[in-house]
Amino acid sequence: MTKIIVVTSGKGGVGKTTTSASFAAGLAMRGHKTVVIDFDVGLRNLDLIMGCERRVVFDFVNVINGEANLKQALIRDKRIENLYILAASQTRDKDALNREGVERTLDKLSEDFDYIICDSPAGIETGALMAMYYADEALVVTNPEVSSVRDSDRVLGMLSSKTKRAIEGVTPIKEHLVVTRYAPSRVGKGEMLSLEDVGDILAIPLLGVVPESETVLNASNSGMPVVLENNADAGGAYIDMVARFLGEDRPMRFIEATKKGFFNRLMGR
Amino acid sequence: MTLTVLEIRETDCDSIARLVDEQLARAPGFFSRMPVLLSLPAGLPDLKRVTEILKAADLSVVGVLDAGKAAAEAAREAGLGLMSSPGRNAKMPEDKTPEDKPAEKKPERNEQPARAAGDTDSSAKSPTRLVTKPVRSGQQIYARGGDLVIATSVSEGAEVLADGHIHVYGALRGRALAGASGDTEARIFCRRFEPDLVAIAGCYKVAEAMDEGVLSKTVQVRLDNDNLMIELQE
Ligand SMILES: Nc1ncnc2c1ncn2[C@@H]1O[C@H](COP(=O)(O)OP(=O)(O)OP(=O)(O)O)[C@@H](O)[C@H]1O
Ligand SMILES: [Mg+2]
Repeated sequence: MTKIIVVTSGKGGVGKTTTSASFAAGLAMRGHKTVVIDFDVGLRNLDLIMGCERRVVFDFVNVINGEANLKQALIRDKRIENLYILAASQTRDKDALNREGVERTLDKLSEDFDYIICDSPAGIETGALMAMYYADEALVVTNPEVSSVRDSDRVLGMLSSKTKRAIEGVTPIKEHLVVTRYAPSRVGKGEMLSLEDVGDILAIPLLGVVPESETVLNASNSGMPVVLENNADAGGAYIDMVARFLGEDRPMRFIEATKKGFFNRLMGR
Repeated sequence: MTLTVLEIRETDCDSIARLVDEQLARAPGFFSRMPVLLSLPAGLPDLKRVTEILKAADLSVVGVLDAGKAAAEAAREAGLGLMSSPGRNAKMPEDKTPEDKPAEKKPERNEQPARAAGDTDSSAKSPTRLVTKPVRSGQQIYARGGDLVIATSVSEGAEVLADGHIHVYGALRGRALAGASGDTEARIFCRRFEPDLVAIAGCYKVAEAMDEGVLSKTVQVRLDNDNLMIELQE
């Protein structure tokens, strides 16, 4: 059975696209046929992070509008077998996506792929809703700061009320927490929320913690999903995350949280 | 006293047992010794077995609500009492609804049904509403004409309202407004108190104005002559 996984957050710039690229690449490296779709119509940067921006001929919107078929639009990754990308359009606006078109595309992809990763745009509007609507599972990407956690909480509310699974009343979307840009030293100084704080508020299972790391920026500048930077800390975090997702037991790394309560900090004490 | 009504929309005892199990898996120990009334809109299950199933889950069934003739007979055989809906015999909070209370301005916004599959949500005619999913930022839940029981937490940026009492068995981090139609007897009970705002019958207190001794504690909020009291419960 194909699994549709949305990578979502509410707040912008927290690492959804980075996570989508590395998670998809990680699944493909484990032998699962995986496609990652950029739902961020108008902005399009998944292809940059995946290093295939110069090979985009047709995009997701072309497919939805029937201007191209999937075979023409799917870009095969040159480094990783089993990995495909469906780019977003840079020239259309976000209204170009419609539910029927998205469903048709996902149905078609489900015939061939094990995993479909949907890289959501920021926000809680149509684009984000479209990306999560048909999901079976969700990676909720959160930075350890108050506004990001609050937005993730809001997105969790949408996942459990506005998606197809919620509306039809079938098994709810399986939710996974992914904390990115985590810097234990700054947590110690009280500049960031600790993992306990975040977990306490969002109350969903933690799938992985990605440390704040320069390698992420360097990797995306060179069009490499950071998961390919095997030895690097953030890359290792994504490898672990994929392994946990596939049911393996891996201890959390890159965490050295302290115990200061979230509420106390909010109250400025 | 307020009784919780458990609406049973199944007549098949195995399905009922499964739903109860799912409920308990989500909120273990939540029901401990809670007295409930059964409401049976879908027909008459084997009441003796239902009582046993619920008893095993630590719920004690005290009676059947608005029972028809057959249900009344079966209830008597199962040793259960009979009761009719408050609408018929109790004072309704609407009787004394002032115009300017929070309930008036709030519930027209995106009111959330928050009814998950398997929730023992007791819908329109029951006075108590049970929510077993976390109430997330941006969501609003209103128990019109009755109490609200929340088995999980209320996030910062979320809002829960009830015409009656509000119980929060997790952390209350958002806003809670009890007695939303003006009932000054309504109270808020909460296991971990970290709210943005609490109000009873329109009397409110914001986080900033709260004594820090009550923060993150188990508390009860009640109204004493227009004074909002926040009391530790240990
Ligand atoms: N673990 C990390 N360490 C350091 N920088 C990171 C990390 N993860 C992401 N970044 C950086 O944060 C920025 C935003 O990342 P990304 O584009 O993945 O976020 P996004 O959630 O997809 O943003 P948008 O909401 O705009 O789509 C990028 O510059 C990226 O390099
Ligand atoms: Mg992005």
